[in-house]
Amino acid sequence: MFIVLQILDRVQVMRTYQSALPLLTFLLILCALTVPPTSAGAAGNTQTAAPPISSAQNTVQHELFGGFWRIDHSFQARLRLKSSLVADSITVTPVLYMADGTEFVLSETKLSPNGSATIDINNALRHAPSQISGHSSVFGSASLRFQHAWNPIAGVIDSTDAPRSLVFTYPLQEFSNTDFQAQDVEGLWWKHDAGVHSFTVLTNSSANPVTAMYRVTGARGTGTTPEPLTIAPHASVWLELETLIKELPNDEQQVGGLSFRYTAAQGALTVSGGMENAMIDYSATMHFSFDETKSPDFRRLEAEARAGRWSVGAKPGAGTETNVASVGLMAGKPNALEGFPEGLRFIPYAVMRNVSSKPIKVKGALNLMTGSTIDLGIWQFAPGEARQLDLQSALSGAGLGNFDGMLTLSFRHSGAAGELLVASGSVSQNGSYTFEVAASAVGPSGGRDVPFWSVGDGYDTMLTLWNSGTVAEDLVVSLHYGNRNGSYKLPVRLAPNASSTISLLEVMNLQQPDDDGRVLPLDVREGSATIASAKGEGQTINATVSAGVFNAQNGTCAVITCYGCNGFVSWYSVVDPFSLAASGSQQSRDFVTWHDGTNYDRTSGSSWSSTDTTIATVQTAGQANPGMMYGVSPGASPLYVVDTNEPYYVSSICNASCPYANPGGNVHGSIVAVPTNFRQQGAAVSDSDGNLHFNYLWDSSTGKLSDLSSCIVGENVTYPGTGDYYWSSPPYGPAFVHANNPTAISFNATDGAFGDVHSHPDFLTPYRADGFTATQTYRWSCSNFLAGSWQSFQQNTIDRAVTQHSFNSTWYYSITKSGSGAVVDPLP
Amino acid sequence: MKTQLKCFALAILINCSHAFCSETADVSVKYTLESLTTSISEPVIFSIVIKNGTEQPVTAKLGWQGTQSLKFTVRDPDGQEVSFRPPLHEGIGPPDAIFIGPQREFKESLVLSNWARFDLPGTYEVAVAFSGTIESSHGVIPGLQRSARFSLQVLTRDEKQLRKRCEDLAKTIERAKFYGQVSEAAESLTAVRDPIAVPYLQRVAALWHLAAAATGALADIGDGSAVDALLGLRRSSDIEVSTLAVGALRRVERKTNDEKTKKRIRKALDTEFSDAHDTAR
Repeated sequence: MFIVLQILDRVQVMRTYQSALPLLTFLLILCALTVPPTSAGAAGNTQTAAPPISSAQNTVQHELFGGFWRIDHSFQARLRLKSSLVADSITVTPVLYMADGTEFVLSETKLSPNGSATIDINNALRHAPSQISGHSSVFGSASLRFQHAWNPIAGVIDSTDAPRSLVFTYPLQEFSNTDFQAQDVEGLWWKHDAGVHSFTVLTNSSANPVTAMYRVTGARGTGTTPEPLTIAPHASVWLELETLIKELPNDEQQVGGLSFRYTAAQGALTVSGGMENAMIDYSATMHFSFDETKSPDFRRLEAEARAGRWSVGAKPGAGTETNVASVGLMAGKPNALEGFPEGLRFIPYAVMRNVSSKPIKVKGALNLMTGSTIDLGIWQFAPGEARQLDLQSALSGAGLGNFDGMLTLSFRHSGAAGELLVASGSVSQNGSYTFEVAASAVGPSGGRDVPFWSVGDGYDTMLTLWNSGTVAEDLVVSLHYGNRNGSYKLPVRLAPNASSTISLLEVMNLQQPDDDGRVLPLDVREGSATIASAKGEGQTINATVSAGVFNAQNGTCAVITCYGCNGFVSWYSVVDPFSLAASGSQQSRDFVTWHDGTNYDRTSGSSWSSTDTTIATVQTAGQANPGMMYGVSPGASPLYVVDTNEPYYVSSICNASCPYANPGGNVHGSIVAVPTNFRQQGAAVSDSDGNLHFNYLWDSSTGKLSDLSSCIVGENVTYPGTGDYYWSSPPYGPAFVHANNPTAISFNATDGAFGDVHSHPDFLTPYRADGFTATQTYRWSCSNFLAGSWQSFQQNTIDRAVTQHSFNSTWYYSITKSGSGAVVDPLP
Repeated sequence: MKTQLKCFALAILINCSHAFCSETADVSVKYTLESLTTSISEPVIFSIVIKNGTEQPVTAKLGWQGTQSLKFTVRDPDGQEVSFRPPLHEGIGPPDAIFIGPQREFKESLVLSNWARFDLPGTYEVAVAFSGTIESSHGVIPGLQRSARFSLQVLTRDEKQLRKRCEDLAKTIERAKFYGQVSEAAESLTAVRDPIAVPYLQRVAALWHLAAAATGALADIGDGSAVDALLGLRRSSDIEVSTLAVGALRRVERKTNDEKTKKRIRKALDTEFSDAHDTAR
């Protein structure tokens, strides 16, 4: 049975009714003419409530799209997914889409805390049911579906053709399905050699056909005639670009751009692409613009900022200048231990394209591992211009023509992030080994996530960290292994401007215990990594990271283009219970929910202020008790303003322009109302049937039950064993009478009261002794508090027994809870 | 404010169009059926609304769990009659005494289709008798409307209408910002005992801690699609949701006569049917 109990506050409405009778009479007549009588029901819920602190805490459906896969020739495609939640598991449903849009839903994958998993796409397609296999194709796209309050999942597809040393890696991304308007996507292509051909794949991630106009541009921005292309829902279309590139002027055919425009929801079209020359085992991933500010999570935080809950600071680069770096470019001879062929040398490269309508100035520098810097001067890019930069000449010019080692290319450019597309990496002199490095924005962040790494079977993963700050950084690299809920922690100290490269295979082979006594198990083959401050997750770091999974034997290197920027997803302030009296005091707290699900208490570091100090004051950071409120005089409670006094970074996954900072870090909010003061009302009552009755009451921490509109109050009762609890029969009957285990019932917290009945089934002879204990928890949950998780009020044990009297052999039933009891004596 | 006024006007108009209203005092009792026309498989929802139009608080004594003072009689189109009080159930429920402040209203909704069958097309006669009391500081309030009778037209199962209703209810829950917007929609959706409701129950199960109600409804539906949905919920990262789903699957396993479904559940749960269950069976 499901009972709804509502107390509807009519006071405001009734008062209005008295003063607006003529209007109401008119409305009654109007309604009589226009409204069918069956639409009653929920009319009249006129409760008003304090606005919720966050709208983000309810579980919502997420879907990441994109991630082009290919299985032509000898390509092996893998879908890799990773959860950043540190305490909770999460279930993800992967979906493959054939080129014609046919959907193939794969089995759900449960990711343990910090877990990652790999799905073999070739294998999945081999075992596709007949209705799918009839639509099979050699390329397509994928999506990941899951439910959570925010997006904690990173997904990447890598397609590797080991015999031909070709590899392409594409992330899956979440887009807002709103903003139905003209959308622009810009790309960057270049030719390593004359044998390279370029391709792009457009995927329609929406349920409606999308028509895009596209064109290719050359080095100076000269464009081909725009052509239309319509893509069916969830279908993918492969475009070979060579014919179009050949339409460009001869001197613009070495490097250029690709432009798409379509009118649909943002992200309806995802674009992937690459350059390859299978004759020399060369491949590189094409780069496209992406606006992370249109992700649903960012949109949510932005909406909260508009509502006055946040003060979103300027995005780095949103003004006049953007700092970007390509970390870990190989130059010269590779490390002899890495297994590359003798005589191999790497040449660093960088390709850039100005996709804005204004000239862009780029000031570049090459940073050596030790922290010393080579100034590369200033490059000018005209609007639409694309160019390959000659980094090797720059090295030679600095007297480092024979330099062997790792470099970081950092550059500062005018304009906003995303206005300059950048591709960079290192390529061997024969073109068969390419190590791409994803450029990412430079600046402070709350930590970084690397979505996957692989070791063993010829593979190793290189993590390179660069400290862009002016002081030394103490970092911890946590290597999470596979889906096993374990991690190995590696401390790293970086001098200002210095870099460090870590071979994960080497870390594994060393078997050096970390501070927790753990080693990286030798049988682990894959995992993910988190880079955080040694002071703790959530503290600001200035490290920029890159990672590449390479196999020196088959000459493949999968660039990781999907680095997560760790940051906050929500903020709370709570006073429990809110009962501040004149001359009284009360403690309030505020804390931040991190992207990995951790809640950090920021009370002591926050600045607290009151909007009306004649009614109440509050202590702030630097005082003895930050967050302690003091009542001054009776009056309506003021709005407490909390300033966390620290920069917070918005969590983002797979975004190239990480970090997106909130440098002011100001957070404003009103007090959350939560249920409190749960108590039994009166004595328990035992009726003649042996039922035990209780009544309970609770209050709102603000003193107004109507403020609890985001909350529920309920019970969870667990019985012995797992699954439903079946009462023993006899002494109870008939058989099959059961209690759901657990029994979970909830009510609207605005009710302020509920009753509780502890009953029993009928009794059945022949009686026999029986007894069991159920554990009952009274609890509450508010969707705007601690992600809606259950909070306990109190716990009780409920003991029931059928017992035989020793003095006359009759039987009786008894139940006890909280010191009260009921009996049926004797049993019938 | 204009919107609120419209809603209030609607509430009065609609309720009185198919409700029995006692307006003889400042304290009134109204009995309503959510709709006087429904179709097979749709929930039949009864509400009692007590309005305190005075400037003093009153206490409504409705009996244990807020239901024991209500007795219903349902006569089906074939003339078969059944009388019942809502059964007292184990666990929490509305208190027996409801405090209603000045100028406030109390509403309790009950899903009659949980206790009486409305699975024949035709006209049902539904009668309710209220034996509770409403008291103010001056004592028991006299002159309350104590009974009501409704003619409920039940149409044949309308798949399209049922699907639309489920969709509307699921959307209401998904878009709700406050629990007050959820409870009635959840009550209605979880009372639909039809496979059409399955995808909608699955959609809302993880929202607002509705898993207990949703898994219970899925177990009652108990067909292949409901089993699919429960198997999905069993993998929830929320241990309570997954435990509830397992319990619901075992319930389906016990009650179904379909051996294939039984085997499928056993295989999925990868567990042996316990001796205790076998004995009970």
